[in-house]
Amino acid sequence: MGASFALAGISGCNRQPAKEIVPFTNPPEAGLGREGLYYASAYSREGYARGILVEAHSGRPTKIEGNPNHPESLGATDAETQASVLSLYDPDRSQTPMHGPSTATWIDFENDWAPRRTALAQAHGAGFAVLTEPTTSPTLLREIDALLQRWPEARWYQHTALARYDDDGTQTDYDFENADIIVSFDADFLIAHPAALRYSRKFVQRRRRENNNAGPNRLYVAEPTLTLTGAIADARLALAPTEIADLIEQLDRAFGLGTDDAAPASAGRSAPHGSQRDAFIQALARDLKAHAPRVALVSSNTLHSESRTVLHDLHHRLGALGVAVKESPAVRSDSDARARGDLHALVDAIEAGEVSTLFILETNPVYASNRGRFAEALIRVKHAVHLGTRRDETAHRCHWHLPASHYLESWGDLRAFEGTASIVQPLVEPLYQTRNAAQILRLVTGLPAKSDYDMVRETWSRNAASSFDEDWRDWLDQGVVPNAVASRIIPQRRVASATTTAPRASTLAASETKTMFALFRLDPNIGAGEGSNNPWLQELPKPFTHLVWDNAALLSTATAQHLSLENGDVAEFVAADASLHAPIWIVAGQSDNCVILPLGYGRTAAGSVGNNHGFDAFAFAPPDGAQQLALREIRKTGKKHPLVSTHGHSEMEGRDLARVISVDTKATEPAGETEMSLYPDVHYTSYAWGMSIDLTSCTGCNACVIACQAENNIPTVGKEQVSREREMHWIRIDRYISETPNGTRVVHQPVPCMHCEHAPCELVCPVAATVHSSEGLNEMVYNRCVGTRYCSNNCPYKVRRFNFLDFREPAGSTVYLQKNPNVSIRDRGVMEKCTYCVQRINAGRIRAERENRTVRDGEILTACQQVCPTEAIVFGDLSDPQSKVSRRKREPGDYALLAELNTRPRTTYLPKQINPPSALPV
Amino acid sequence: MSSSDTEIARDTPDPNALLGPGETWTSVTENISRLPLDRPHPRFWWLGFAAAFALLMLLMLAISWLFIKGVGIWGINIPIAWGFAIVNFVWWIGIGHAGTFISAILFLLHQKWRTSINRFTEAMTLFAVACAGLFPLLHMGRPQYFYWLLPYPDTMGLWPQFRSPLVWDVFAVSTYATVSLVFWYVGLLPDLATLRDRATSVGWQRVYGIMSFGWRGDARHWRHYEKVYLVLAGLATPLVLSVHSIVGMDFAIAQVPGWHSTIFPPYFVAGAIYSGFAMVLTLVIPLRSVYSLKHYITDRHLELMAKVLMTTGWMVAYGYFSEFFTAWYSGDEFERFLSLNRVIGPYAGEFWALVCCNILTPQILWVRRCRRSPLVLFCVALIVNVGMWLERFVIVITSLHRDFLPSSWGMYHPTIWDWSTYLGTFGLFLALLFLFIRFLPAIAMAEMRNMVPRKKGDSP
Amino acid sequence: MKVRHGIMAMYPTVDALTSVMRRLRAAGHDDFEVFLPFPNEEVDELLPAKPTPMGWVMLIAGILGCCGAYFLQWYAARDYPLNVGGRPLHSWPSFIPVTFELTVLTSSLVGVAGLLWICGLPRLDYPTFRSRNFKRASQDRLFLCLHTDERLDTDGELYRLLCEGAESVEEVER
Repeated sequence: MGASFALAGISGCNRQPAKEIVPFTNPPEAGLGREGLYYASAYSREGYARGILVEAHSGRPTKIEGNPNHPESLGATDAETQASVLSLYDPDRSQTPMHGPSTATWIDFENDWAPRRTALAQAHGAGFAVLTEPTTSPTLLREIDALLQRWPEARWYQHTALARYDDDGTQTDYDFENADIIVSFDADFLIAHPAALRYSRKFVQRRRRENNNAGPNRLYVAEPTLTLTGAIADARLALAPTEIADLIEQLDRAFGLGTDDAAPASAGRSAPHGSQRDAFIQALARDLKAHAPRVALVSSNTLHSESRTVLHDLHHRLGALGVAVKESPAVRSDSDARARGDLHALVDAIEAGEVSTLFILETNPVYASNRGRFAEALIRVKHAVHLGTRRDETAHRCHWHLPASHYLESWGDLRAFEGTASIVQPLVEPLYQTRNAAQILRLVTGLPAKSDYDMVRETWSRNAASSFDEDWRDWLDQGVVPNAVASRIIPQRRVASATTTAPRASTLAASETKTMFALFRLDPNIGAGEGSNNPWLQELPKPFTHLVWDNAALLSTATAQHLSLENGDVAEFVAADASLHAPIWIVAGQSDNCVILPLGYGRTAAGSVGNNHGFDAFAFAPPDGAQQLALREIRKTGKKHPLVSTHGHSEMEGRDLARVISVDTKATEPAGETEMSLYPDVHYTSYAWGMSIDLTSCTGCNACVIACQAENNIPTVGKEQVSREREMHWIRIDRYISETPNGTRVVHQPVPCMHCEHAPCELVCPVAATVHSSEGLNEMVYNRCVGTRYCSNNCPYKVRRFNFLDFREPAGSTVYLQKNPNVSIRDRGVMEKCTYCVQRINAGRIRAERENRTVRDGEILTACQQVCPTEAIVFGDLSDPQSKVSRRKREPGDYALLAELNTRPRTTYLPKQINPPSALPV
Repeated sequence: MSSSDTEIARDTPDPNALLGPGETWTSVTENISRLPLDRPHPRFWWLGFAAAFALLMLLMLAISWLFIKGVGIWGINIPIAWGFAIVNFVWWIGIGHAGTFISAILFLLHQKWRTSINRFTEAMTLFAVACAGLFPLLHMGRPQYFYWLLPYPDTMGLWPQFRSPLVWDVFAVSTYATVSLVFWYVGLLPDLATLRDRATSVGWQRVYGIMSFGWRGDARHWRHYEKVYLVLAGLATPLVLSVHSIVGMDFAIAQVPGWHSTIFPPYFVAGAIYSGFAMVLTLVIPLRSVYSLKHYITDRHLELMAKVLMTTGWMVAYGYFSEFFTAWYSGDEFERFLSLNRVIGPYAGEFWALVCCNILTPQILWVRRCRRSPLVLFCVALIVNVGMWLERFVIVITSLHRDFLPSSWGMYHPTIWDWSTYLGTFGLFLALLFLFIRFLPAIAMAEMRNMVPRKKGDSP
Repeated sequence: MKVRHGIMAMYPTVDALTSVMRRLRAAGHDDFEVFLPFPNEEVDELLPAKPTPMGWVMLIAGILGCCGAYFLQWYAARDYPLNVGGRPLHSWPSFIPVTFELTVLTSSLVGVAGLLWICGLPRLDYPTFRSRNFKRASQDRLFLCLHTDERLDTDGELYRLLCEGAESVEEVER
């Protein structure tokens, strides 16, 4: 009943778009043979394109892979992109226009809008304003331009929560292949950057033993709190932003007047961790001199402009520009001259009574903007219209809410950070009566309505070759528009944008170094709330804290001790003009002078999944838009909040689990030795599947976890069940954290099923529900399992997961449309675990047999392997000595986890190689 | 029955007597068969049975909810995938060891003192095994498929996986239950005949008559009967040892630190008999006073059981010691960590409690007066019962909650459903026990008659 | 006409019964039954009956159970061969426990079934039950029932022999 109802709304879901969409011609072979088809498209991450291939089963998009042709994807993706497919089927999406609280139709809206339009048209759009997120979409920009042409008085504003990379019209790009020495000043460039996938790939390629011809690079990181980039650093300092500014000044002096030593500069500065800091600077200065120009100083939006200018100059002085560093005009429209500025400008305009009609397109400023005037200002707007995929906080305060299309169901175009353009190709007709921003803009000015498809084609058919139709097919097929880079010129205004937040911060900074600062950061999983209603992202353990379904104020150990706070204690954070109650969590490697307040939580209108988790840090963030706030004090309230973390313990207890070696210490022990056994060896005559995981490459980005979840129909269980240690992820990232002279050291260790040849789990199963296949897979037979859970007890790696309750979504839920038809959905009381993506293996074998050959190396990719930006995971046939995995396993240092138990795992690890500065001890 | 033809025993009361003074075949028969035959039932029986029945209903409730929602209603998780269910299983099955031990092993050893308690303890065994048998079924994720553990080729041609200790369990426990039942019933046959012949109402005569299969005490029958009983005892002896050895192997076969230990089988058997005797004392002491059976279950009996309690107690203590010793001596880092974790880890409280209950408390039984004081014995027995439950808790939970990978360490928090299932099984156990006392002879009359000293003038 | 089952006497003590049994057998009367409320060795020795075969029955049953159980596991491993944790198909050490348990099980079940069969039980009606006194055969009295066609002659030598130490003597109808 409920089923039929839920599905009735999207009866059209299996219809492919009427407009012809073009399947990917040479898809990753893992896809073929599973009646799945791949289509190239692009996902917008903060407005920048990320080239993807979307797998469709009988017309339903089910899984997202990276597009190997795309320069910013290189075949990989990230957790956020992986999870975006689930949002398409989110039951909480808005399905019809809403007029206030009541549902309406598009006709209603158009009728309501027509008179207003004529009025505005007479005033040439005076009093009309549109608010968008900064974008790279040529079509959207073209439509905005058209609107501004038609209504010269109309205004365009742009809003984005925190993240900015190019507010002065230029963007800095890095080529880590040519960088021997990399310094990151609070820049999490391996994750929180539009080019993160490319950066990760290039950065790691230089570190991996197998291609160390150029020698490993060395990464210095100075940051206030542990980020995934800081976690992989060879030398790391935990510094408050102000201290980072000082550090940059010191560096400047070290190179400025040719004085060779940076030591005096640092004398007397910042008593805490002085020595470590001096050593850091000296090593850094020496390395920079030695390796210039092959160096890269990575700055971030959290630095204030002086610091960024200094780094810019340093690049010049070190000659890095053009070698490892490239500066180019911005791709995203942040600094577009046609725009009237950001949210602050808009609020000013509203308060000046200059805006009577406001269109808010696909952004949620009421929630996702610092505490302050916007919400109130919005009330003063006579007519506010919101376009979005959900009826969010902003929608609730607008007169009209219009349902927006998901990117997998409407045509569009985007540019990648380095400029390449892609066509956003939909796979399905809109599930509901939705439209996209460009369509709305035409509707606003009353231009003749066009289909999204026509608009995009029109954009690209201008001054196009005669062969446009062939080219178009090509672009859709390949997912990239070749040499479209040239044609991207956004009219720039060369003034540093008024929105540069840092100077305010720095003015505080210089004087009061000792004050405690609250730093506002996007949540690593759900960003500024974009992912709030996505259960995959909510249940994804956050790096380092492994918290799920919640955010917490992150404190350093010392700070917490000083305030006698423990994990989960609710503290009150008091600033000059505001205060915030938030539960705290203690993290390693954080500066004692700052508290991290992750944004994106405390949602009230995110949807049934995302509402009422965590606290809203936006409500505490300073109105001026700064990303940090000086705290008066932190009070212990005595209350507790149940925070849930999936990670038992972050020390290795002296056990040999995740190995770390320095590059110059050559691993000696022969790879792949096995202890003797009482049992006769089993001889595997056909394929022998195995996996190798390189700890050097793993950045702990969590992409594999979500990829596995999407591929294998893994359920989410909710906060309460996770708190009872019943999470279901088949692959988890173990993190072991230790303190070293080079700063906090983190080792990420992805742990899937080891597929032991002497599997302890199989021996104890009373009904032979888990047994070995002829190809050496440790197979789990769901419909034979009676659920004694003995196998899990006897698994030393604890990779088995059990359906303690019925974890399936309610029957008929739209999310079933995302499920992978090649993987059965598990029943209550059944054990499950990583299968090495056996459905992909079988598909590959079948295809090979059909073509009457053996499976080619690299033909079968597991989901975790395919998604990995750094190729840390390699899977293949061990019986073929030339296969990539065999070669990996022959590398010195290859080791099996808990080898002493003689379980003979098919999954082995390569140790994490570090390249610490010679000056500093390992 | 006129007293003229009763046989008079030696009149001097003897503190070590296994039978009160002045007992005759007749008196034995009358006094023991009175329990099941007297109507109406005494008040305390009704009260006791009502309480037990209430708990039984709690069990039914817990089981219904379990079948509706799944094992997720318990506190189990990953890594601690086994919780109360297995703890209780091992505990109950352990208790179920005293009966067969007393009736079989002591029988072979010609320990005459077993005679007056074996019937009752055998019954206790059966009921304890019934409670134990529940748990492996309930703790399965999909109990509806329990029969997949039975040896038959299913539609897929699949058999059970005979290398798994859980399959051994199925055979061990079911065999133990069956053999105990048979052994017990064979012992009952002559006494059922007695009840048949003493029952006043036709109805009960019929019922007992049918239950006794028409036993008539034919001397030829006695000849076969004794041989079978002897061989059964001979079979039950290794059986009782094997059952808890196999339960011990459930853990010893696994490679979890704290489980993977060769000492487990013998040490589990000792523990089983330890807890079994503790339970016997807990039940027999009130029983003999409320039903005034002090003539048949004398202080001498209590003292002898107390001695068994101490002996097995020390065996268990040795088990603990050797666990720690081997952990240290092996040099295995995981085993060593586990030992340390037991003593000072999050569950140290449970560990030290069990040491107090199982090792320290019984030591007061060195004093003869304590051994002969029903009250002291009763308390000691209760404490040992608790201690043995804690022992199983420590073995199951602390071993699982911190094994090889620190990333997967966890804690175990039992839910209300864990507790109600556990308490509920007491309901099942006690209810069955009350019914047994009410309708069947709690002491083996036929054997007691043999304990009656011969009449003066009889040739020795 | 009714046919007699025999003449039944009730004795208060083992000695009374055994002395009568001795003299009966001396007199060549082997056709009698004895009923006791408990097993007794002396009586057993004087009993004109074959030794019990039950021991052998149970031994053979046990051996069969043992072989059967082991074969079951050996066959199951081959009937559906699976690689379980890299262990050989014929993992004999793992097969021992089940083999033992089934040995005990078969032996005891056959034992008890055999006991009932050899005793002709269950049998709810038996001529001796017709005697009032016989109720005490399961309580505190010992009975001897002589099968004989001689008419009950109160001053006959056989009657006197039975009466020796008896509390009552009566005829039992078939």
